[in-house]
Amino acid sequence: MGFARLGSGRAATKQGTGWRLAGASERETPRDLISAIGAVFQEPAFLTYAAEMLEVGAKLPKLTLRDADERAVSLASLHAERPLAAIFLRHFG
Amino acid sequence: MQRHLAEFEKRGANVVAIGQGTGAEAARIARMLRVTYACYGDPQHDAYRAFELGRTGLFGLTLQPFLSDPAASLRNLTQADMRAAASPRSDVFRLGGALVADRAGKIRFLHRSRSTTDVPATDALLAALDRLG
Repeated sequence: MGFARLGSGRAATKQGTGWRLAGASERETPRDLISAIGAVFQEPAFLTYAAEMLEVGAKLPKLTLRDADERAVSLASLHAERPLAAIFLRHFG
Repeated sequence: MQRHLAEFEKRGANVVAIGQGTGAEAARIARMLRVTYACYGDPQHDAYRAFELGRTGLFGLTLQPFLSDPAASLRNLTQADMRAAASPRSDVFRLGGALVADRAGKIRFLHRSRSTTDVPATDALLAALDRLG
């Protein structure tokens, strides 16, 4: 689940001229090492996850969003007539 | 996605963005990003939680993006909405994502970003729409 997916807690060890993360099948790049170090500082995201993760093939959950006038818009209404392509925005960084 | 909007529309997709905060805040972000498709607010983060989008930490928000992908990181910073980020309804640690669903509401593509610079390739979303037939 989330914990493993995010790569948290993987130990990095020096091997030859490169670094290898525990459980990794190939030599990892410095970028991976940076990610691993970053994972140490990550908050435990898995705590916020539901018991069963939504995956491809699952039905969209029933959700209500808000339009610019704060009117309720159901997620179901967004795919009722056409396929839906949605992106989740970040505000910063 | 805005740059490839015509490709999405050619495939008959309803392109939307979901942002943290109120609907008005989402609309403001849309104007900032100059996107012409609909943006909806998710003030309680119900959608972000339902799709189990991850959260990063302080390191993942600051130093890691600059070290791993400086160009994307700088681009993200230039597009940052500091006002929205400072809102109590905003979670700056929450990561983004993308999905494609068919008309029946079945998820056909789902990407959960693993870092602030991890953005799904537009081609992957378009390919998912193409597979709908």
